[in-house]
Amino acid sequence: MFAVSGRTAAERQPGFLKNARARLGRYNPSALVLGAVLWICLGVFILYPLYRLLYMAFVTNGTISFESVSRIMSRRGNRLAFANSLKLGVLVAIFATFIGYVFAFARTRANLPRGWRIFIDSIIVLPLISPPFTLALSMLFAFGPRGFITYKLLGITGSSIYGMWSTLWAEVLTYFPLAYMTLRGVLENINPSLEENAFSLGGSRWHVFRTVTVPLTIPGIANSLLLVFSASLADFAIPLVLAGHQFPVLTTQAYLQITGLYDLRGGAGLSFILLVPSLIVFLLQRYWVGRKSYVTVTGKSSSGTETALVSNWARYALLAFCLIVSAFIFLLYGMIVFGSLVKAWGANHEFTLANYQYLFTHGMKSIKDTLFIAFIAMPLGGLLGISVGYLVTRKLVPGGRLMEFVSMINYALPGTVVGIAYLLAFNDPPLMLTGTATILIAAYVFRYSPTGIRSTIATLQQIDKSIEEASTSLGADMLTTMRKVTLPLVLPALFAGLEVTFTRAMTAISATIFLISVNWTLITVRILESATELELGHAAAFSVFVIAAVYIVTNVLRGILRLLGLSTIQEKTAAY
Amino acid sequence: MSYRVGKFVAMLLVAVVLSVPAYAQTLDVYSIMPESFAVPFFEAFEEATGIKINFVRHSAGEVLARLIAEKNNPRVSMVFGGPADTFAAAISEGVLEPYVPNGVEAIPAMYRQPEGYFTGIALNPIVFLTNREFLEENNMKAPSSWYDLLDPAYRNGLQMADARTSGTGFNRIASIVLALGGEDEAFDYMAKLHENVQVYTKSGGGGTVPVATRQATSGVFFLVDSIETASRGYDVVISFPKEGSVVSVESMALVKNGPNQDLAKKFMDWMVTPEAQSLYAKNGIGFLPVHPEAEVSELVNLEGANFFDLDLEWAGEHRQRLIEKWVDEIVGF
Repeated sequence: MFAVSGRTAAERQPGFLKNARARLGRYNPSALVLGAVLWICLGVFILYPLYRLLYMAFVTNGTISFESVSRIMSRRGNRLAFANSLKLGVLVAIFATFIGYVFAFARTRANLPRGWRIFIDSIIVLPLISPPFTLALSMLFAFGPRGFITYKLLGITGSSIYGMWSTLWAEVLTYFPLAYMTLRGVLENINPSLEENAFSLGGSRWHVFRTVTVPLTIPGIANSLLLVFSASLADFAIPLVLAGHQFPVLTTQAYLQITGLYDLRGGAGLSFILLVPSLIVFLLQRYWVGRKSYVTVTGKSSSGTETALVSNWARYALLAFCLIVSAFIFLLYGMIVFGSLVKAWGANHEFTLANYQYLFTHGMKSIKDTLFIAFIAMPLGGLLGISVGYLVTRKLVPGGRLMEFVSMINYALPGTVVGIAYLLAFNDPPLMLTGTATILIAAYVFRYSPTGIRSTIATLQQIDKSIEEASTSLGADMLTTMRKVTLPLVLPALFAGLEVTFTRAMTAISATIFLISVNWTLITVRILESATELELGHAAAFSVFVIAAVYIVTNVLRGILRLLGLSTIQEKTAAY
Repeated sequence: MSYRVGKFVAMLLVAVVLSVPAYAQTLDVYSIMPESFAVPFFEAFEEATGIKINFVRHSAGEVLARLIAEKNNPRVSMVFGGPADTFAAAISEGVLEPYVPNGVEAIPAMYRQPEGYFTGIALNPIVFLTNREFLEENNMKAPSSWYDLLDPAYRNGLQMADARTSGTGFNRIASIVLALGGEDEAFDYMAKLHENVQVYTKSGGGGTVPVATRQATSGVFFLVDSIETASRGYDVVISFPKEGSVVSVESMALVKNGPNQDLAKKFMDWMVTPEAQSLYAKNGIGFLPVHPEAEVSELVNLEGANFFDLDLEWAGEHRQRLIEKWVDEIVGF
C-alpha cells in the first residue's frame, strides 16, 4: 500500500525513478512489496523447513559433520538406489516426452476427427487425476503372476512384475500427460505460416518437421524432460508398490530409513542427495533454453490457413499409436472401477455396493477433510503461481531467478522429505502447525505452485513485452497494466495452476503422509492403508471417488474459463 | 494493492483459525492394529463409557517414527496394538509413560512390561499361509517346517514382510533365529529363502491377499492376518513350523505427556477386562486374548503348534542390529 505521492503516471514509471535511489530504485515499489511478501512466505514454508532438515542431517551434537551422509553412502544399497533413481528418471523422461510429443503432434497437426480428439483428451487426463498407486495396483493385477493380461489372456505363468520395467512403464503412463500438455501448448503456439512457408519453398514434410517444427518446440521439450525427470525422481508411491527389493530407489529408501529404522538423520541425508540431480537438471534447462527467443505471440496478425503438413499414412499411424496407448490406460482404469464394485477383488467377483457404502460412512471424515484442504489450497496455489511467475518473467524484482529456483525446491524434493522437514520444523516453536490443516495446505501450496509458476513464465515468455509497454506508455501504472492486459492473457496459466494444485491436493500422498493427524486425514492415506490392509475394494472405491471429484472440478474450472471467453491453457498458450 | 493485502490478511486469518486444533472429550489414538480389528473395540468402548475415540492407523515403524518426531508436542494419548518389540524400542526413545491398568493382575506377567510401560492385549503367533490350489497342483503338503519353504517349487512365489516397516518382519526373523538355534544358521537359511521371495511387503499382512489370489504361493505372516484372509472365503491353508515360531504380544501403551491421559487410562483399564478381551472371538478376529477367562475364537486352531515367547529384553537389545543385518546381508543392501 502506498501513499499517494502526487506524481503523475508517467513519472511513476520505472525509468523515471532510476536516479532517485540506489539499485532498488530501478524497480517498481509495488512489485518490491509483493516480492518481499513472497520472499517471507517462501522463507517460512520452504527455506526454514529445509534448514531444519539439513541441520538434522549435517549437524551432530552441535558440530557440522558429514558423518551421517557418508555413512549413508557407504552402504551399497543406497548407492544403488541413487543410481537407480537417476537411471529411472532419465528413461521415464525420455519415453514420456516421446509419447507426449507423438500425442501432441497428432493432436495439433494431424487434423484428427473430432470424436477421436475428444476421446484422447479425456483419456490423457486420467493418470493426472488419480492417486499414483492406483495405476500401480492395476498393473499388478494386469501383469502379475496371476495377472489378467499375463495369465488369463496370454497364459504366461510365473511372470515377475516387481522391478525396474514395471516401475518405469507405470511412471511413463502416469507422467506422459505432463509432457503432452507442455508440448501441445508449444506446438499450438507456433505460427503455422512458418511451417507453411518452408513447405511451399519446396522442403519435404520430414525436412520441415526436422528443421522448423522441432527447433521451435525445444523449450517445450526441455520443459517436459525437466518436469518428468523431477516427477520421476520424487515419485514414491509407484516404486513402493512395483519396484520391490530388486530395484531400490532413493525415495523408498528414505521412507524406509525413517519409518523402518527410525533413522531421521539418515533419511534426511538421503533426501539431500536427491536434491543434487534436481538442481543440476534445473540449471541445465536454464542455460539451454534461455539462450533462444521463442516469441511467436507478437500481437501481429498471421494468416490462419491450415497446413497439410502430415501425410495421410502418417495420420493413421499417429492415430493408431495414440489409440493403443489410450486403450491400455482405459483398461487399467476399468479394472479399478471393477475392483470397487466387487466383493473381493481377485477372488469373489460378486457385485456389491458395500465398498461405496463404507466410503460414505467411515470414509466421510477423510473426504470432508481432503476436499476442505484442497479447496483452500487451490486459490492460494494459483495466486502464488502467477505472482512469482509474473515478477520473475518481467524482471520486476532483483533476484528473480533465485526466487524461481527457491520456489521449485519443494517440488523437486521427494514428498516424504518435505513431509519430514515440515514435521521437524513445525512441531516446535516458533511456529507450531503440526496436527492442523494449515500445515497440509502449506505443504500443497508450496509444493505444487511451480507448475503454475512455470505455466505463467512460459505464457509470458511467449508474450512480447511490447503489449505491456503499449499499456504503460498510454499512462497505466504497473498494477493496472497487470490487471487489464497481462492478467487476461495469463488467466489460463492461473487456471492451470488452480487445476494442478487442486488435483495434487486430492491425489498426493508422499509429502503429506507424515502431516496427517487424528484431526485431519486424507483420502490418499486411507487408500494406502486400505490397500495394505487388503481392503482392496475400499481402496478402489476411494480411488474412483478421487478421480470423479477431480474430473468434475477440473472441468468446472475449464468451463469457467470458456465462459469468460478465454481458451484454456491447453488450447491456447504454452502450458506447465 | 489493498485488494492484495486484503487477500494476504485473509490468508493469515484462515491460517490462524485453522491452527487451533480441535479438542473435545475425545481420546486420540495411534492404532497399529488394522482398522477392521480395532474399530469394534473403539465402538464398544464408546458404547460403554460415552468417550469417543479418534484414531489414525499406521504400521509399527511409522507410528514409532511419528512418536519420535512429535516428542516435544505429542498429538495422541495412546498407542493401541502392534507387536511388543516396537514398544520396547519406543521405551528407549523415551516416548512412553508407564501406566499399570487396574485389574491387570489377571493377565499373566509375561505379557506385561515389568515397569508398566506397555501392557499386552492379545497374542499373535507367526504362521505359514499357503494357497491350497497351488499345493494340490503340485502334490505338496502345507509347509510344516521352515525348511519346507526352501523347496524350488516356491521359486518367486513367497511374500513376506519387510522388516524395516513391519513388526511382522522382525518377529519372523526372531522366530527363525530361535527356531534354527542361532544367528549364523538363521542368516544362512534366510539367504536361501530369499531366492524364493517375490517381494517383501510394506505391511505385515500385505502378502496374504496375493497368496489368496495365487499371485504368490505362500508366505510367513501373523496368525491374525492369515485368519482374516481365510475367513473371507479364500482358499488358503494355515500351518505351523515344527521347529517353532514366535508368539508376538500385541500391546498398548500410554504416550508420554500426551493429552487427555485420564481418558487413555480409562480405556486401558477397560481393555484388560474379560468382556473386552472376549470381543476378539465375538467379532471373528483371529487374535488370542491374553486374559485367561476370555472367550477364544473358534477360528483359531493351534493344534500341533510349537511356539516361543519372545524375550523382550533380548528383542529390544538386538532389534535394530538384526534388522540392519537382514537388510545388508539378505536383501542385498
